[in-house]
Amino acid sequence: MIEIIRSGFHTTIQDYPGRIGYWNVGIPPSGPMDGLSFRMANRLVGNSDTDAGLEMTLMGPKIKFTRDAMVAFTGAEMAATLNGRTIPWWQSIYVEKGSVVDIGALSGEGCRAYMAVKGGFDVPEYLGSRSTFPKGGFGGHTASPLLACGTRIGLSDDCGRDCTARCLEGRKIPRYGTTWVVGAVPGPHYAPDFFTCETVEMFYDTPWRVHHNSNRLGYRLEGPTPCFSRPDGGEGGSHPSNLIDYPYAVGTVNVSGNLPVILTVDGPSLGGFISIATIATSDLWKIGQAKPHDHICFENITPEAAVNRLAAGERFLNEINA
Amino acid sequence: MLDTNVSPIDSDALAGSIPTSAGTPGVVYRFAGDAYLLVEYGDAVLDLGLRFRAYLLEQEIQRAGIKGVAETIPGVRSLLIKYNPLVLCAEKLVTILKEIETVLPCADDVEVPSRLVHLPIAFHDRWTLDAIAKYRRSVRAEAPYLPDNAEFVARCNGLDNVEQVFEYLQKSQIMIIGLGDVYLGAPCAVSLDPRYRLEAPKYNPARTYTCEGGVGIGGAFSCIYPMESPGGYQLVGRTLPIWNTWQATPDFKDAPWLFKFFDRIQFHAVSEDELLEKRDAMRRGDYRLKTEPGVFSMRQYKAFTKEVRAEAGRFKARQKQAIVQCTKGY
Repeated sequence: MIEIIRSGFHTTIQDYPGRIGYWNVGIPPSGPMDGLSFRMANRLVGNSDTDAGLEMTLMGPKIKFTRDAMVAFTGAEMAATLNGRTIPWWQSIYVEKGSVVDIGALSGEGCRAYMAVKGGFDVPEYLGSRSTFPKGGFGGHTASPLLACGTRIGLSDDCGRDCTARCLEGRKIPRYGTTWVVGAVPGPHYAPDFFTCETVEMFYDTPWRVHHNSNRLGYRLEGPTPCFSRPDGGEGGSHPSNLIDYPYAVGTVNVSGNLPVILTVDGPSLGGFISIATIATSDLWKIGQAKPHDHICFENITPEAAVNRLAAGERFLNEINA
Repeated sequence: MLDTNVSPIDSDALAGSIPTSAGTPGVVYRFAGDAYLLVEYGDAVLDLGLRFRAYLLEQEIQRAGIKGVAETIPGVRSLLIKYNPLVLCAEKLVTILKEIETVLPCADDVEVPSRLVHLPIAFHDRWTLDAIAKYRRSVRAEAPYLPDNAEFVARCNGLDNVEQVFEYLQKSQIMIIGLGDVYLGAPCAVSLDPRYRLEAPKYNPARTYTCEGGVGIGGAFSCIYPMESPGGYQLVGRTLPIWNTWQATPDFKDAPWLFKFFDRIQFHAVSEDELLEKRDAMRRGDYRLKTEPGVFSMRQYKAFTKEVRAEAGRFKARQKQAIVQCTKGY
């Protein structure tokens, strides 16, 4: 068991790939915002990708372990100590019963950190997943979707048994910065039929600033105003960004009014706003690491190039298991 | 209906298309990233026939069991297909979908199971009025739709008063054509009788708070809010809870969400007190939702809309004029 002594800013239990199969009724997948780091953390403790772990945002929690456990931290580095000693990221570490792990503020670039525990967290599944969807009030630790002080979370029985330490080679650690170049496929609604050609060029040329009011539902982007190539949205509505309601892809860049918003893992499934581009699956993790006031640059890539990137990313991850 | 027979404008987002032909709407396939394909039917208009076309496609995809297709999500005139691009490439998927189009039956022949769901509604209730008041205090004090959304809806539709709005909402069955708009099985529903299809532009900017069970109108759609949440629809009343996380009562035995695609809602007005009583009883499991099984036939529906076409046209014309007046200062 672990006990939360201090909650951190936005600490939740997530699993990968989240709550799949309910998008058609508006239940989002949730799951980690940075699936790459999350899966790396699990692999570092010998877990499968689907085991539940912790997602920490900007500022981590303080946790007491009531039993021995193998854990690994990945993602954005935070000032963290284990019984007063600095915790290294990107490698498995052994935590003895009675220890206190204190995870503080971000110490570098990025936005979200992950903690995997060997065997995963023992919380009930809701609709096939342990991922937390705080807005819906389900998943994760059901009594406290946002992990609060005093919350106790069960660990699986074999949480400390495997003591093989694993460490990620430096070259395999994802590179962070404050400007994120993210592959994005044009469309589903593009130029010249919905946006002007100048606007889609501008879209790919602009370093978009991440609005402070960005979260797991969506990332708002600040930048120039998009121009539409049609006067209104027809039967969809009076504004040219309106469309008759249609289903959204996770990672799509929705333009609501004049404001681009990246719809992320807790986002809506259906709506009436146009989407200019959709982020390549392989690059979605970068949004999870972009923090308010960072910049996002979209790179225009074809669907084929995006699939190649996805395949390469999966090969890279599979090397970690070796 | 518009029958343009024009091929879609070429763009990098286009994955393929099929032109309109006699009796069948055109199809446009759009890339939505590397793992989703958006299939759009016909012209950008609200037409149940297009929704049923998407339904037919969805049924056929499920029946065919295409390897690599993970999920299908219907919109009002579209279907989003989520697939694993490492198993199935977009080009092949489009080829398969085009083949399917050649064998799909005509949407007019569609008959779908469609329950009639009776829902009590308290119009002008204190909870939705409270949500509007909160908006006035915290977001925007003055707007064409303030202080009374129902009154705004009346004006937008050329009606004399709010009583007429409430009457119209009970005169037509309202069909659920989308779920999850927004979140947790929230219905995207449209009045089946075009003579009573109210329309109203959405809030600008959106509310930050809506009560659970709130009933709203946005564009030509009606919605029920499954949980306390932000929202943009014009609020007219409140009904029963439509989401139950722990499936604690018999109405939620099959799923935490209440509705199925193509359910028809029939509202009937009740007082605030009656609604409260029913909501409490439903929560305890003592009140069962009143539903009747049924079948919806597109052919019969088309015959009906033909019958009322003249009257519906007059309403639509009046509505069009009224909306222009009402959206000044938006």
